[in-house]
Amino acid sequence: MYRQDQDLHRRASRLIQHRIHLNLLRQFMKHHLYPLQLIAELPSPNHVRDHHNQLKNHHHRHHLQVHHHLQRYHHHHLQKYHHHHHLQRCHHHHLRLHHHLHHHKICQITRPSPPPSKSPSPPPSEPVASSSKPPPPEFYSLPPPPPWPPSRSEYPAGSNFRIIYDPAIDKDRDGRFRALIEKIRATQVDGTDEPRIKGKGKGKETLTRYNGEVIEGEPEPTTTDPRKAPSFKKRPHRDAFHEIRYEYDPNSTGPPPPTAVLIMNLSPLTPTQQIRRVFSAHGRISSFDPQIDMESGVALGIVFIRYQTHEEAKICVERTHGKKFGTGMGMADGEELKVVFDGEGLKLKAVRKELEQQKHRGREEKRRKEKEAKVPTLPPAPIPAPISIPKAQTPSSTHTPAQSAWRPSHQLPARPAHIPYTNGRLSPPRSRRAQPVMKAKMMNSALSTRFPAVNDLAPMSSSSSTPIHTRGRPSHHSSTHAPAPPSRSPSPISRRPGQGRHQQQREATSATVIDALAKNGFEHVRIDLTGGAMISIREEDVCAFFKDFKVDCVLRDHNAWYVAFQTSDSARRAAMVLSSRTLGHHSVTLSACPPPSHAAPVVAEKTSWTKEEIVQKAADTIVKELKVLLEKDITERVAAADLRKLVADEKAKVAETKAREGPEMVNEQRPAEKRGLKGLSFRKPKRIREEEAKASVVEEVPLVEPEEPVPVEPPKKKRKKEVVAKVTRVAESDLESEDEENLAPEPRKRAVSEVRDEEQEPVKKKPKKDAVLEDDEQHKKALSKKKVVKKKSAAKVIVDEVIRPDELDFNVPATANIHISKVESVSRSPSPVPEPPRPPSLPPDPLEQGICDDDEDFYFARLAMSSDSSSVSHVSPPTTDTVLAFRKHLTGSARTEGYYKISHAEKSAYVAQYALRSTNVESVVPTEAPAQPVTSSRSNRANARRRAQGLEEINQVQRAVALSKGETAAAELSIKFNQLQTRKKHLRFARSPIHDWGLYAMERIARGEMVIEYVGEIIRAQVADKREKVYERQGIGSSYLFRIDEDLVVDATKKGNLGRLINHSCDPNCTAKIITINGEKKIVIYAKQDIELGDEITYDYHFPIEQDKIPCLCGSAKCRGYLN
Amino acid sequence: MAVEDNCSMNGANGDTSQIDAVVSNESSDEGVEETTEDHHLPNGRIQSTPVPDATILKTNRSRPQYAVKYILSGHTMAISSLKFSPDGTMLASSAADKLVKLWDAYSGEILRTFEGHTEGVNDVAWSNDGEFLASASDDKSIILWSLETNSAVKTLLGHTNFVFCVNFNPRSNLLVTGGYDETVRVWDVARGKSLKVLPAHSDPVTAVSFNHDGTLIVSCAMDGLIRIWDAESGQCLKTIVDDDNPICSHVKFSPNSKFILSATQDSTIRLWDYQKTRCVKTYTGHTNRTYCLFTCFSTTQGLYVVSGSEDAKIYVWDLQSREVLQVLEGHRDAVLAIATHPVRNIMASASMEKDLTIRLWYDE
Repeated sequence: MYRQDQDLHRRASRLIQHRIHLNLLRQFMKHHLYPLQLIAELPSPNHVRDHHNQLKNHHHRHHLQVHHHLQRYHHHHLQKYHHHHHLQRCHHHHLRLHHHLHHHKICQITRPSPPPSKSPSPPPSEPVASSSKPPPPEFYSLPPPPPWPPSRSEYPAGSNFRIIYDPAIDKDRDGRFRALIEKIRATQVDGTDEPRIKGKGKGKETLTRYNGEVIEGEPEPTTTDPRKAPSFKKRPHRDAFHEIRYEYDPNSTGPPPPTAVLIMNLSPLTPTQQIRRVFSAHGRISSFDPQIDMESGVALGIVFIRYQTHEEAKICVERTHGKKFGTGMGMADGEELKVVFDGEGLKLKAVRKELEQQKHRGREEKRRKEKEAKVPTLPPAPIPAPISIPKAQTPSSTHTPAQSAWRPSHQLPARPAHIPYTNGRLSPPRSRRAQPVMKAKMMNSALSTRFPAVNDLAPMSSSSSTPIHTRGRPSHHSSTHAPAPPSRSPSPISRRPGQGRHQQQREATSATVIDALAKNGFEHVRIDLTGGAMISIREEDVCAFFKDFKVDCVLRDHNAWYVAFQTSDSARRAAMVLSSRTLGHHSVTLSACPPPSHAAPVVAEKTSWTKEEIVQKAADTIVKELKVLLEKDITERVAAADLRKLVADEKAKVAETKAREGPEMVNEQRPAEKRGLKGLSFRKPKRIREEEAKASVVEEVPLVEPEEPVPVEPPKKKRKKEVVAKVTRVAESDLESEDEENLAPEPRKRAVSEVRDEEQEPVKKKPKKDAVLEDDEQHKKALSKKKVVKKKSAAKVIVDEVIRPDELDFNVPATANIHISKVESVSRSPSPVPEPPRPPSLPPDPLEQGICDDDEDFYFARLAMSSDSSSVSHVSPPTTDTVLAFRKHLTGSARTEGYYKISHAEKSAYVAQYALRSTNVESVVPTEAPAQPVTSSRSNRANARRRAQGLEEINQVQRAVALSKGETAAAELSIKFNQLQTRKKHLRFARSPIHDWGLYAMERIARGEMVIEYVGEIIRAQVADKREKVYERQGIGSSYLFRIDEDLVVDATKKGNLGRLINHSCDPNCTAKIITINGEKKIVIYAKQDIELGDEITYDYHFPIEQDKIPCLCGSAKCRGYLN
Repeated sequence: MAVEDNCSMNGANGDTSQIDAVVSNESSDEGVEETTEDHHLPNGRIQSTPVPDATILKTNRSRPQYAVKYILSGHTMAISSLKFSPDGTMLASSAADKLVKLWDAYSGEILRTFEGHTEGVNDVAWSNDGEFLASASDDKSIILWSLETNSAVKTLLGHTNFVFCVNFNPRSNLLVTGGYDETVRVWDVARGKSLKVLPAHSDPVTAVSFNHDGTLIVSCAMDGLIRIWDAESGQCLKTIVDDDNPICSHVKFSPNSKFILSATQDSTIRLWDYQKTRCVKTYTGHTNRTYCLFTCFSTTQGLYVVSGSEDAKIYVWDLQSREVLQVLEGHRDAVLAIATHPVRNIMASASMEKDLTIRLWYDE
């Protein structure tokens, strides 16, 4: 113990050496060190010895502490000796020291007090030194201290003493000590020098007591155990060193308080901007340094941020450590951030190093495994395994206020870049052991981005530990691991299957997904994601992504998300709108898929079926369907025929009367038609028209054909034919009665054709087709109807046409044969007729007539009629259906076939965008079409005219108003338009189900809002006429001429905006209006109704009625079937 | 009145200009030297003028003299495509008879036959290492064949209609295909998955090809459009459209990828500077009205453009002068497929039903 005192002294002397304020120090020493020593002069009463044992424990503890303090003290003073204020600190220290030493002294006095000049022997409990000779000052390699106190001789040698009064520090209010001094002085008889009194002059003397001597009247010195005092509090035991911290200033030792923080466990997928935004909330960021993998460039999820002040960094650490990063999209779930101070970036370095090592180890391991397995497996991938910050800490730790917060997490699990989910749950110290396993797994998941098949092999440690018992029991797993509620996808974690069971699980999942989707019944959106993205995206993100649409349920299986909707068209719209956006910072590919049929599960079960069973089943189904169809056919064709005839007769009468009224109305219309600009606006797919000229029938048929099973064909086709006939006929009669010029050649043509082949089915108006129709078989069939035809046709042309529908009913076989006779057989490419062509022979059975087109139909019909039980020996493979959809190339392949025309109808079978339309059209056209065009086309034309005029009038009115009000109103109007211009709607063009390209709304558009202006070159009508011809010759499929008024046309073919891409619809959601702004006419498309996100923008083209029909493919319920 | 002024194309200015280089990326005047002499003008600029004498002299020397050396027969239906392997040792042929055959380019022997497609094959392509073949078929699939294992490695499904054309990128990790479903698809070869579907055209896609570094894709279709795509993003960078909008039957990048060579079914082959969207050369003389004929650059001897023709001949043009240097006769039906050898003066051509032969033409 004494040695320590000595140390203290020695150190103090060093202070002097270093030229401190000597006075201050001395004073300090005097006041605090000397009194300490004076304790020793106390008399040594025996009872002190009793304390000794009790104190031993204390002593041990305190000794350690004192020792520690001394070290620090020394350290401190070495560096900051020359400053004034440090003395205060010293002071502080010594006060503490005083306290501790007090105990030592107490211990020490149990031994005979050694002379101060000798080296003191340590107390018996002193652990460091031996009792006989003190060890050399082994803690410090400092030069031996000069003797201190320097002049010990001024005190009597060999005696303990205590200064009981020092006027410099003690107050002597009642003059007791002064009196005592006087008293002592008085008792001093012999000499002038009283050893007990020192000092210069009166009132400045100190009073010392030696060896407990007292004079009478002086209070007896008594030993008191301070611990026995009632105010004594036992201090709590300390388990660790107590540290003292000081406010940092420029003179502090060590590094400054850290202003930088190291953030770990961020999702590597979080964009840096977001991180920066979040962390800049805590203070001004002076540097921001997200860490990336040097090899792969992958973010490590570690960010080093330097704030401007320590306070900001502190706030940041306090607020964010252990919290989860914002719950925004794309965050790995359950990740708690590790935010630590890292003033000098040493932790960052350590973490990076650790990562490197992990990677290295992972690679080594991989290599080793490869060697062991001797199987060429996947190449090693960089694997960042859990890392920990090494314990070896920096000096900065001494200045870390949040040390306690830091300590428990001194081994940080730095998350591997690729898999943000594996750790964070597993505390790394504990997982250390299991690391090889972990690594292997991580490798798997890292690889899964490249090899999706391995995707599901990224398991949790628990799953991998139990692969065996899972493998053998697939049923168990499908029941336990399959997500129970179809509407909710299980959490990604629980869904991650183990190695052994992933196969079953995957199947189970996809089965449930398919089930759920099939139950939904509408189209769904499939989001394909690569491995990493798949994991980091959660269901909520997906829901949020689709929040604008009515989502029914969100499902997932091993590599895709499926989103089903509550309405039928949502999927398509969603795919349209969202395909250009990113989900959780991943670009995603969205595809709208039709609902899965329940055929899929059947296929899955198929393994248990024998081939015969399947065939049997198929045969049963077919026969059942055929039966139903046959019944339907019989009622429709045989029974309904008479009914139709009656109706048709009635209609004919009406038409006749109408035709008589007609001519006056049309005259005004003619000039426009003669110019070739057939109405307000027109847009003709030229190729279609061309083809139609050749074979409109051929074009019509496949529209129905590709999708329908064979037996259903005849009725549909027939109905279709009927429609065609009716439409064309009515239109024609319209024209005939209205247009004198047209009237002349038409009947002549017809007459010629009828003369030429009288027995010919009169539906055919076009000579070309007539020529083709030469077919003996048809003649025979037609013979039965011939008489009727002849009678009526002889009477009147119009009447002849009128009775056509019922002829048609019986002539269906003939129409069916029309396209078989290959209109285009001259060219290399035959029409898209199913192969092989059906033999045109007809069974003699009268019942079959008009119902069955060919052998096949007949065969099936008979089969269906005969009985269900008569099992089919062989059923023709149902491949006909699929084959029908595609042309079979005669030459064998598409390239060797050369160019041939593909109609839009055909395309609908395989061009994804058209698929939707084809289904709609088929369901709609046959039921809707009859007789509607009569009124609608005519009224449309009239309406269009009226509308144009009306708008004109409105404009004029507005202008008049504007004039009356002055210029302001007009200005307002134009301003309004300009405003509209600037507030452009967000639109996007993409492939459309209606025609090549279409325009889609990328935002909601309210009714009445302007959508877009139809921009193009404004040209005169004559110019437009010429251009149209040029365009047709050049084969520009679509015409983009939009008529403004009698004289002007907007041509957007070569110059224009998106407005030209808007398709026609018979049930449009927009209207085109012609408005005049500053005397300039503009075509503006306004929303007619509220347009939802992703809806295609359409308006009615209002084409005039023409003979060359352009089929409408809008697919709406109100579709008129034709554009014109 | 109408649109004659819209895109000045393939006019006289285009045809008289010299193309600095089609093959090398350094704009050397290799091609020019063949037919012209450089006059160093006082102002330091070089003026190129054709020198008649030199032309005759040199063209006599450089005129290709291809003659048939082997006639290979084996296919039973019209042959749709021919491709030399990158090292030139093998020739792959595909035909409507659903087969892909491999021939020795130097001996004419048949090496092997790949069976697997269920419909006729439209096109075939070699990977850059010569290890894999990709064939596009009417059965809507693309099959990857390994020459090592001699079997189908992968079947790529996704096209909803006939797959018409196929090509590897130079690294051969991607495959680009086009088909009758009017889409261009980019496939990851290793995973056998479709990476991108470009809703490229409104008619069947007739040719797709990567440029020399794989950054661009060019596609053309029966709608007459040639589109250039960014291979990375799938964005359409440029659309080249002819005024007359003829059906485009084949398109490919020049070896240095500075130009594209397009064949259209108006019996014309055009060389486009796609950066300036300008037609720089027009080659005519052959017949192409119906089929999607292949067109090739031949760079082993001079710089030629080679194409088959529907008049059963093969035409060889001088790239610079656009003059027909040689017409190869021998086939008895339209010559659909043609291929030029990468290193030697060899050409391969194949004809349709009436002929069904592959002819190897040598100029050595």
